[in-house]
Formats: sequence, C-alpha cells, structure tokens
Amino acid sequence: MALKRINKELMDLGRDPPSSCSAGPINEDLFKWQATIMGPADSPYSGGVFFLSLQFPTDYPFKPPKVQFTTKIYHPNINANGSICLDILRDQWSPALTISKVLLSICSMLTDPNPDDPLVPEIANTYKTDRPRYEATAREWTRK
Amino acid sequence: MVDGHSPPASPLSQTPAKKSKQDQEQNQDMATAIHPDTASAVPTEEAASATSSSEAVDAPPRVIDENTDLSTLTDQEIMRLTEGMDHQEDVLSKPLISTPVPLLIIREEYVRGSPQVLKKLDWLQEHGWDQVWRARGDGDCFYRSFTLAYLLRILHSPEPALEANLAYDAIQRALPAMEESGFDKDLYEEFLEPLLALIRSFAEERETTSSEYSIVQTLQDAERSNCIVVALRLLTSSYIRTHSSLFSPFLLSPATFLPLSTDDFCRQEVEPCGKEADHAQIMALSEALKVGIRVAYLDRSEVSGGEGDKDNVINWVEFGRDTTEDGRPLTLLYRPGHYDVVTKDVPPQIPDA
Repeated sequence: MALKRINKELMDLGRDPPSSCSAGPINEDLFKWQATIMGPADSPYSGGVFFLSLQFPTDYPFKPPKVQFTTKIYHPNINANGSICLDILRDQWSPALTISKVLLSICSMLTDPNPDDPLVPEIANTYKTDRPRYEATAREWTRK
Repeated sequence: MVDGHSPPASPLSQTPAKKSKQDQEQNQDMATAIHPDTASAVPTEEAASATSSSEAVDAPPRVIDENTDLSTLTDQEIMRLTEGMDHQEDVLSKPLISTPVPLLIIREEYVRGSPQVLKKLDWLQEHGWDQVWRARGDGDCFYRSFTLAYLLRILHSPEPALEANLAYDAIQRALPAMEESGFDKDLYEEFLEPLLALIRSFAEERETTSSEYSIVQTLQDAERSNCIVVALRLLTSSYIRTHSSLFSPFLLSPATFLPLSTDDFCRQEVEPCGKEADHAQIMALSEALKVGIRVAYLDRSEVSGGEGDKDNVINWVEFGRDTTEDGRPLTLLYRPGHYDVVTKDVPPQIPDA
C-alpha cells in the first residue's frame, strides 16, 4: 500500500501543487523525498527558501513520514539538527493526512510558532519576551 | 430499518459522557468511575509534564494488580498503565485479533481477583456468552472489535446476503459525510476497500470467503486490518464533524478533561491510530453505520435488578437505537482500557492453523 499511496501523493502534488511548497523524490527511491518551502510573506522567514528531507516508513501511511529541515532555521519548534516538533508528525499523525497537508502545517508553523511546546527553549523564550529580537535573528538566519 | 436521513433522536441522551466524567471525579463508587476515556490518554508532552509535576512524584507508585479496586485508580495510574500496555513487547507479539477462546480463560485471570467481576463472568457464561475474541491492546481494540462483531453479525444473520447488502448500503450512505468533512475520496475509498470486499463476498455468498476464518484472516493481516481501522476512524470522525452541535458539549480531552473543539477532538482523539475510543466515538460509529452496540462492563460495581431481568448483574452500556436481543446488537466486553468481542451459540468454524 505504501508505494501506491506515495505514487498517488506524487501525482496529486504534480496536478495541484500547494502554493509556496514543492516536494518529490530525490532519485529512483520513492521512499526518500526532498521538499522546499518558501518562507511565508507575513513571517521573518520571508524571502528564504528552506529545504527539507522526507523519509517514508515502509508501513506508510499508517506511520508518519520523517520530516527534517536540511536548511538551518531559527525557530522555537525546529532544532539545530532540523528536527521539527509538530504534533501531526508524532502522536497526532493520521493516515488521512498527506505530505501536502504536512507541508502546509509546517508553513503555518513558520508564521505562528508554538512557544508553549518548544524544541529549543531559548528561542521560545526570546519569542515570548523579546519579539523584535526573535524576528531580527530569524531574518538574519534566513538571509544566510 | 436503514434510514440514513432522519437525524438521530438524541444520540447522546443515553451517554452523558460529560456527566460520567464528573461522576468519576466526585462519585468514586459509581460504575462510571471506570470510564474508557480515562484510559485513553497517550500522554502528550503537556500531559506528561503535568503528570510529573503532580502528586505522582511525591508518592511512590503503588503496586497495581488484579486485586486492585479499579474504581480507586487515579488518572495518572490509568495513564501509566495504558502507556505500559502500548510498549509491552508481548502486546506486539499477540495477533491483532484472536480466534475465539472460551470465556473461562478470561475467568481464570480473575479467580483470585474481584468477586464482582467473577459474578459477571459467570452470568455471561450461564447465559451462553461463552466465547471471547481478543483484540490486541494497541489502542485500536474498539475499532477492531467492532469490525469483527459487525462482520460476524452479518455472517450469522438468518439471511446473510440480505444483511450484507444492508450493511453495504449503510456504509455507502455514510460516505457523503466523509466528503463533507474534507476527507480525500481516493484515500478513504482505499481504506474502506478491504471491509467492502468482505461484505461484497458475503452478499454474493461466496463459499470460500463467507466464513469466520476469512474474517479473522482479514483482521489478522496488518495492512487490511489497519485499513479498516482507519476507515472506521474516518467514518466516526465525519459523523461527529457533521453532527457537531449534538456532540460538542461532550467532547473533552481525556488527558485534561477540558473541552475540545469538534475539529481538535476529531484530529487528536479520533483520526490518529492508537487513540482509544470513548463514549462519543462509540455512539458516533453506532449512528453512522446504524447498528446497535452494547458493552458489558467488567468492573467491580454491584449491579442487580435491571429492568425486566432481575438476574442481570451486568452493567450494560448501550449505544444506538436497537440494543434488544432482537436487534442483534454488536456485543463487546470491556475491561478498563480494553475492548474484546463476546459471542454465544456460535460453533467454532475455524480449522486449526
């Protein structure tokens, strides 16, 4: 089922690509994809292009895909290794979700970080206490 | 019998889930104290940190065994037990659903335990409920038990082909709500296919597949079994989503007991695999597929003198419109945090594997 489902998602992405995201296999291995997200205009990540790696488990879609940023990003819910703290990539994954929906959730997380469930407490703290400094740092990292 | 258009009279009037939760906190001697939802929490990070900062840290955890009065379990203890269940290696070594075992095997587990539970097991045995089909304790046990009981109900009906066609129609009638809820048609059709394939084979009375064996075989096959679980989860979710005003007062987080929006409840507690079913989910699935469900609660409560049957010692919790014997409701066994199927008067037809 995994391969059939991955193929279907690939076709759907080609037919109806979500705005500001793209995704597809890196080579002939359909279980390994690369995705890109354009930094949302209403966020300090605006103007940046962020790369992510996607790895599908063999029992996809019953288990969530592994999704990581490969581009460095300054964000309370994303750490230095690119790991993402997002509920739908963990215990709230549902087999009815798709890569397209996951990427859109990541986009909205860039606009609206969740500092109450942080992966990087320092960044969450800055976000909560000194918003201008958080935005400046995020913008600076995005330019690099 | 199958009427997909009239709204349910008041599906939640029989299942005051919210009330149960209040009872649970205030009235520990009630049977409702052992409510499935308390066992359903796969701890989120918030819940885990809430647990660690509460009294669980101060008091060393007490030993919980079969002699523990289940009505005294705290939420933290239930959460710890369920968490343990999820990670036990032997859970994964068990089949997703078992072939039938004698009810006496369950009784064995309680011989040195609660006399009230033994009394209930004896009552079931005396009234012919002598077989249990055990579901794996992986958080999907309600949905898998439902599937087994649903398919057995068709197979053992007086007219299986007719019953299969009715079931097929009931599922088709539930599909518009799926689309209305925003689920991708291609995706849910694929999840539904293994269930529909079996029902179609019952409708055509194909001898090779119209058997208990083929039901168990399908439910033991991880991919088909999980597809059906997901399909039922989406049917449940879409029923709740399209009847939001009926359900919303009863949609609470099992971890915090705080109200959740319909969307959050469905996204967090219904659609992901491994999330236990609570009254709201059971009621929704019962209504979505127009089939009655009754659950025998094997708890330590004293029950006697039920309406019409003074000998009934079982705390039956009923869902849907017709849960009388004539309505042939799906009959499940509930032990805190876990559902299995109980059947009677059905000779085993499964050859030794």
